[in-house]
Amino acid sequence: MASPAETSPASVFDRLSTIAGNLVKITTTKAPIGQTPRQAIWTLNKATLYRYTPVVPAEKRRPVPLLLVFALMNRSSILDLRPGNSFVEYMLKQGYDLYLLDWGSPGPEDSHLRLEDYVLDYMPRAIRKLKTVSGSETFSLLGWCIGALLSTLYAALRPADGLKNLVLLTAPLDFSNKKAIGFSQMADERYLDVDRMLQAYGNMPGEMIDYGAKMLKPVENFVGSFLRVLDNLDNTKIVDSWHAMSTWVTDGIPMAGATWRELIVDLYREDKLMRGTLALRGEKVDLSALRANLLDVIAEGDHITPPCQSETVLAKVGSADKQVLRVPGGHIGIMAGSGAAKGTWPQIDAWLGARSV
Amino acid sequence: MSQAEAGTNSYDLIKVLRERRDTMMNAMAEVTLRATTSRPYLVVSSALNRPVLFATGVSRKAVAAATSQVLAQINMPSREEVLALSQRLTRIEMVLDDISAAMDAAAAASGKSRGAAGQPRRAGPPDRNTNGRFTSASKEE
Repeated sequence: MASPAETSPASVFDRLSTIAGNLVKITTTKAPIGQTPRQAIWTLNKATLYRYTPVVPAEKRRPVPLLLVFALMNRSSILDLRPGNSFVEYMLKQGYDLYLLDWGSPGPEDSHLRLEDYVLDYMPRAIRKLKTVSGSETFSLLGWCIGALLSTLYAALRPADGLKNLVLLTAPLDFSNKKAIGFSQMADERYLDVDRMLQAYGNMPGEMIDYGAKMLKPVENFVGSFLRVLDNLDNTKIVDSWHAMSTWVTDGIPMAGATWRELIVDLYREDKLMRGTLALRGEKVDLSALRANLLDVIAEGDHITPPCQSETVLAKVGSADKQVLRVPGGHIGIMAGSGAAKGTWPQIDAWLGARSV
Repeated sequence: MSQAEAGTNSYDLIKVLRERRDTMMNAMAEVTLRATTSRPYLVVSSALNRPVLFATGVSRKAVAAATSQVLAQINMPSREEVLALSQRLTRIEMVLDDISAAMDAAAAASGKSRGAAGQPRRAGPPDRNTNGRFTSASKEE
């Protein structure tokens, strides 16, 4: 029941003013995201390797540095969404020497870039720099979404490169279950002409990738999300959280045309990785060569990378120490949702911390 | 009716309306999802996309050809030439990166530091290229 104080003219005015302020904010501004201080220590083409400014004294820091690798078609700022809700901020406080490989936004001149370029040219060089800067010969790698796919390919092709721990978040690796994977239907050759798409656009536009992802749950994404924020316009905390997420979601970047083609044809259609027929620059990707300690984080409510795409990898890798972590939540929610700070992050830290000595 | 009662009733009404709306939304979500993942939907959307993509591809090609012709007439490099140059620069960047890493390794092996090898190099004032990227080796953000 509303108390008299809540229905007084002053409080009603305050509430209306908050609603108006929040409405103006979400419709006219972009939320500040990715605010944690960092330093660019290496660049190659559009890719940049950042080192986050440590917040824990050197003697208390964990000796094995951690490299974050995010997907190619969204900004990596989701890992550092906003103060108080940032995985980067959390891991820095836990004493990790933290690095981020940001792929940047490919231009028309990058449409030829393939998976092999990212995995065999960019990643090894960024890791070489990480080792030089950190002074450590071993490192941990955390890949999310397509970043997890790239990390897996790298770990399988370069097992002797010093990779100690590999954390995969919602990794799309197994494409065999066509019915369960929403994108598989869209990628079906009967409905999607990859060549024509690339002739038209060169690179795959970020807006189209975003549209495809939203069409996996059209009503929730195109209507429900906005209704949720409209229902809570008087709650600045909820609005700020929504605003930050919305800023990130609408800031998609294109995917290099050749990489997108490989993703659709070689993986979504032909499932080459799990079948053991995928080769990058002539090197066959053998998952059994992956020896690093492995944590496979699966989002139980993920409709973009359903659990069936990640859970089968454990049987294929050669790691002696491997574990699956099932977390309630969606593709993004498990790491950037309001419950991540008490759910996913501490569990990743516990697993990684025990192996970062 | 007292003011407090009226407030309670209006609050309840909004709550009930929201619940109805959410129930309707859930039902709509299921129906929409079933429709958008059905074969007829995929066939129709693919059929609609095909001519659009074809037209976009053809017009892109035509514009590129016309632009190349104009640029050639005024003795300017074509788009393809600029793209090829960019790709070559990336390859040069890779070679320079390898050389820099080899020098770092050599300096570390000989016990000397090359621009404080092992630490991020601090370059002069950072420059921004046309893409807004920092081109210096190191930049605080």
